[in-house]
Amino acid sequence: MKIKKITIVLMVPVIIELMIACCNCDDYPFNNYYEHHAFFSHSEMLAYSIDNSGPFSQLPLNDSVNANTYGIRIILDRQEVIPEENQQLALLRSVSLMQSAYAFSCYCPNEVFFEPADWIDSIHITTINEFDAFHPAGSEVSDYFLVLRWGDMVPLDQLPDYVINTPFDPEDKTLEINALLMNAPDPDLPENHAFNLEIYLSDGRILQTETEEITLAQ
Amino acid sequence: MKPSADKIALPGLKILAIIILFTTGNSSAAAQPLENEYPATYIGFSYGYSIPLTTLETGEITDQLIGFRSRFDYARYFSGTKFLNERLGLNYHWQRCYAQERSGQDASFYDLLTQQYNSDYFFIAYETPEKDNNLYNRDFSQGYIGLVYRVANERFFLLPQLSLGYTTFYTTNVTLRLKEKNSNRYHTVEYKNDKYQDSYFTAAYGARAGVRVINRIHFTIECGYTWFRPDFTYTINQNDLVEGTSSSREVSYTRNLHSLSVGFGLTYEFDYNTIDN
Repeated sequence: MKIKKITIVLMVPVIIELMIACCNCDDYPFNNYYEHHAFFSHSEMLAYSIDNSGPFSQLPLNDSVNANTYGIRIILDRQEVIPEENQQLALLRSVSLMQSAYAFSCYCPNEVFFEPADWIDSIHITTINEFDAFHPAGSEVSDYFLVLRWGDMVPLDQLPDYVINTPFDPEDKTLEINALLMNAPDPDLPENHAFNLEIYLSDGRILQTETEEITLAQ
Repeated sequence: MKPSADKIALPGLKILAIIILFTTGNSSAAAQPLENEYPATYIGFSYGYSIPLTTLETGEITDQLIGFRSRFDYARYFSGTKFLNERLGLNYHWQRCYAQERSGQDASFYDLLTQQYNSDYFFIAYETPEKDNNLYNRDFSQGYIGLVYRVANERFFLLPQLSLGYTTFYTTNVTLRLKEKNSNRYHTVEYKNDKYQDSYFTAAYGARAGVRVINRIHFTIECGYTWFRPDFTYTINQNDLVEGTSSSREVSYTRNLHSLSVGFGLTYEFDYNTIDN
């Protein structure tokens, strides 16, 4: 009789955990918010020159691209950030009896709701070499680029909206953006060009990269 | 696997065989009406050809997005007539119409797009709503109900009829995404029409003449005149995504369509009533 009572008492936390764990996954993320909530952060940026002369853009076959079909492929790396609350929950599970309840749980691991921990304030493209009469070396040429977004072409200053509205995919953490050059450089200047890219993030960080020098033929 | 010619012809032969068996299997049932009787019911089917007097086609590329062709064959799969008395009856018939696509004259929508854009643009995307995947199906339906008058003797009948009904067909919307060759410029072209499927009131006047070939079966020839008025407009929007400019124009398909038709078929009569003197 005594053993039965002890068993029942020991089973109580397991049963409670089982009830909590068996949330309705369809109602996510409003049930069990902290357990299924996560953030992502922009961690790194890479940039490559692209040749957009065909139906779809590709990396150049050599170090020369037609200036009218030149573009920059911006690759933004985004990383998961585990909130402190989740870390505490994980720690609690690792040391408590409740961990065993997972054997019966209907936890929905793929339904984690990701929110941005930081967002892009602005993006700037500057020319490293002299571009034309109005844009000496080191001056900003962001206005010369348009971004292909959801079948539309938008100025670079709309890129932050695009990035923030593109859901984070834990399976593919990179975000690829094609910024296409809409104004050819001055043909009388040397044809070698490279660009510096800077992304200013809301948390004060700056992601910076440069494209390799390439010939923009006309 | 492609069906053989025998298999294609089989359903028609089967129907004919069933009718013949039905009409000849029972000698009393197969009998022709007596002198003081008339058949109260006719059922039949026919096949024919429609000759347009006016056409829906405008010569614009949007013609290819419409599930209708002015020139078509029709298969009147069911025609039923019930006579209320010796002379006057009600008729219902339903027919499926098969557009006559003639190679070289009726290029597909994609062929025409290629002709128009291929020299200067790349096709990036060709979007059509999922429900419109069957873009090139130009078959459509017509159904009628009407009044029939009968002039008949033992061997022949003539059934002039006035019918009202509907013509139903589909239209498709397409959005095209284009990229200029040797350029970073993109464009969209939309072919839009608010009506996806619509039925239009249709009036028809015609006559069916039959000659008795075996017991209750008549071979029939028919001719008719049909009118209906489609009412829809395609809007073609062209957007330059770089400049942010757009232009649009409309192609109207609101017009009176008149056509003539001729056909032949078989009619089976039954349900004999006594003629009131």
